[in-house]
Amino acid sequence: MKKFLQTLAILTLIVWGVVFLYFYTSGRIEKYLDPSFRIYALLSGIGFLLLAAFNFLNRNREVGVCTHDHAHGDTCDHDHHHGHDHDHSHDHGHGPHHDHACCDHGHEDEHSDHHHEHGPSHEHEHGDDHACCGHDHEHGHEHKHDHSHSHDPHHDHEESPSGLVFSLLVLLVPLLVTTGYSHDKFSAGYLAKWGKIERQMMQMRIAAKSPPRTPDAPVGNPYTREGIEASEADGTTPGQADTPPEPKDNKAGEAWGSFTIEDLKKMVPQNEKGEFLLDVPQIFYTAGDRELMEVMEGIPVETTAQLMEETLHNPDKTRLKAFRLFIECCAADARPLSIPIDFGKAPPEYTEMGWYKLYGKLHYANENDEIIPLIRIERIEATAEPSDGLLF
Amino acid sequence: MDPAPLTPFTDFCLLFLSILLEGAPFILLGTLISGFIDAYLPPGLIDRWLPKNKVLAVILSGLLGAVFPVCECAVVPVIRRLIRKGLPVSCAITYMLSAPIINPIVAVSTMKAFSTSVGQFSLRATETVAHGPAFMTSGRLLLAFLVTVGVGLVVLRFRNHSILRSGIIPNSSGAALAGFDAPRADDDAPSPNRLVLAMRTTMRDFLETAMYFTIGVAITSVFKAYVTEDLIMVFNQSEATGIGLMMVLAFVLSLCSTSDAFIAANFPVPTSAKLAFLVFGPMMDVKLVFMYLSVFKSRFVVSLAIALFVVIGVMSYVWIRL
Repeated sequence: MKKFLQTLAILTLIVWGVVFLYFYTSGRIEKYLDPSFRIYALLSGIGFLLLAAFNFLNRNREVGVCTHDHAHGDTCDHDHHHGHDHDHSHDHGHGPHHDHACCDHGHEDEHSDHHHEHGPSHEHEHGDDHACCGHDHEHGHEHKHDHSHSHDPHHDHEESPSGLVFSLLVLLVPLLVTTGYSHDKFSAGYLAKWGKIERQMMQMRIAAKSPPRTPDAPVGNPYTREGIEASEADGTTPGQADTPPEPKDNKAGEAWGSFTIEDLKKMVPQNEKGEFLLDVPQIFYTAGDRELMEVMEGIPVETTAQLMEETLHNPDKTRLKAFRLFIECCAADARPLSIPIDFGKAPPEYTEMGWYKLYGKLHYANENDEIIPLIRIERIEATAEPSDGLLF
Repeated sequence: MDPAPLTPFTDFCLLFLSILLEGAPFILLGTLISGFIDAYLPPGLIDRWLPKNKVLAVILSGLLGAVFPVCECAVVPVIRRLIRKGLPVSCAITYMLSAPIINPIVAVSTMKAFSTSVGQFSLRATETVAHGPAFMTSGRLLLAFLVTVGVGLVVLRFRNHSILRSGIIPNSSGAALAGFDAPRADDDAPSPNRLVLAMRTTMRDFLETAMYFTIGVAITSVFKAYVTEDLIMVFNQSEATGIGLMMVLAFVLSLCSTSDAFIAANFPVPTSAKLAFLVFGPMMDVKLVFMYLSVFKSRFVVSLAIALFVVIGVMSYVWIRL
């Protein structure tokens, strides 16, 4: 049974190694991990296989050491059933001078060579525990443990084969099932859910930076030129909280220098028609930045994104949602960053979660006191998923 | 034929695999280290390295991550083996909790995450904020240090048997820390045998740690795949609510400490709540609970989780007011 379980453990490692290498070599891993993490998956896949091979080739080699930790794999070479006659020549109890470094009391030299051998059923009783230390000393001199190997029921020697089989099932079944069932992409429901959360967080972030609006304050878009002019005319200063704080050093001051369309042209490439090539997340994160919005309101843009039904900001049912997935480390932290795209009429037929090139004018709408960056669409074109479909 | 529909279950599969692919390499690394510790580290050596004074030893353990950076996935098998080799449990727990935060990699990633408020997509640097990257990074590291050393000092008062699983106690059958677990009888064994021992220990530790990790990852993935957005959007009801919920979020999301700052930086919650998220998450999350259970008794893990939740919550609230 022991050998069988050991073989199962080795097989489990092999399965893990094969799965990791499969993900790497098939390219599926690109949908799961940031590029910087992929090499680790490759190395670990190789590592699993090497570890399995080494343990398989040395499965019958005597180590001559009992580590007393046979939780899984049961790889100890000697028979752990009772009545064995191997020599547990472990140290029993330190002398009064052994060294407990973290104790205040001074035990000086370790009596680590204080071996004694015993029969299979001798007993030790441990006397003085030093509870003040992080570890138990239990180095009394009335040793009384039962070495007939009736260890406490949790000792790893006693783990039942069924327990080990359960462990291996936990390691194998979810891995294989998810590998088989994963489509390497999220459902529309998942993206809508977490996309909504991102939008709401963005609005909360903008609100946190903006002063609360008085009940009689004008409701307009304070970030369009018209809105700014209107607010300046009536003496209010919308978005005041967005104005930069007093620079504390030169660097901060430079960062907050006034932003112009020329700055934008230097930073963002344009296509042959002069449309700015912006990613959805770039547009998404301009919301709330007063100076950026002033400059970018109405500029022509081109972006590539996936399309979904717009369920959040769609008062006239003329909009779809354009989104991109942004991943920091792995797909579990993927964030669907989305903006509405407005057709001014019923949207055309489209493929849900299909990829499109979008052309239009950028606009910052103010709806229900929320700043909504959107594109007023002029045309869309179906396209293939770009090589950088996931943004890392 | 239409492709099979995308469902919450396929989302679960994607989430599960992504965390597994990301975390398992580090568990393998940790168990490799633990295997070599088991085979080659002489018992008693750690005792000789540590300061004699137990408080100093705990404090030093809280800083070890700066020298031996280990992520939260890898640290569990490492300390499990170090405990068996005689590292005092108080020092082991301090190192286990602090190393995933107090290390240069996390410091850099936290600085980077908070350097701009909107990450890499910002068209320009935005506002200078009072609680900027230096504040958040230093706050995270210092708070983590204080908390983990505090935990270590408290653990000094407990006996191993009340904390460790019996299979982990350095000598569960009664012998003292320094000897029983070690290959003492084979100190002169030829090196191939030690290598075999190291590899066997690695396999054994990996299979056990990975099992708990797998369970934790599955629970985290279920949460992300099936939770509703309404549950997430209650974080800003009050600062206290934000702090508590951000720690709950850190617990269930089980993010890597090298990347969690990017999530926290963009969460529209008070600074104190972000700080709590960054300190609590690498010490206690779903996958870690299951991994801790491979070393510690369940009662200790639950007590530790509650204590960390309360202490970090209160300290985060106070910290930004200092």
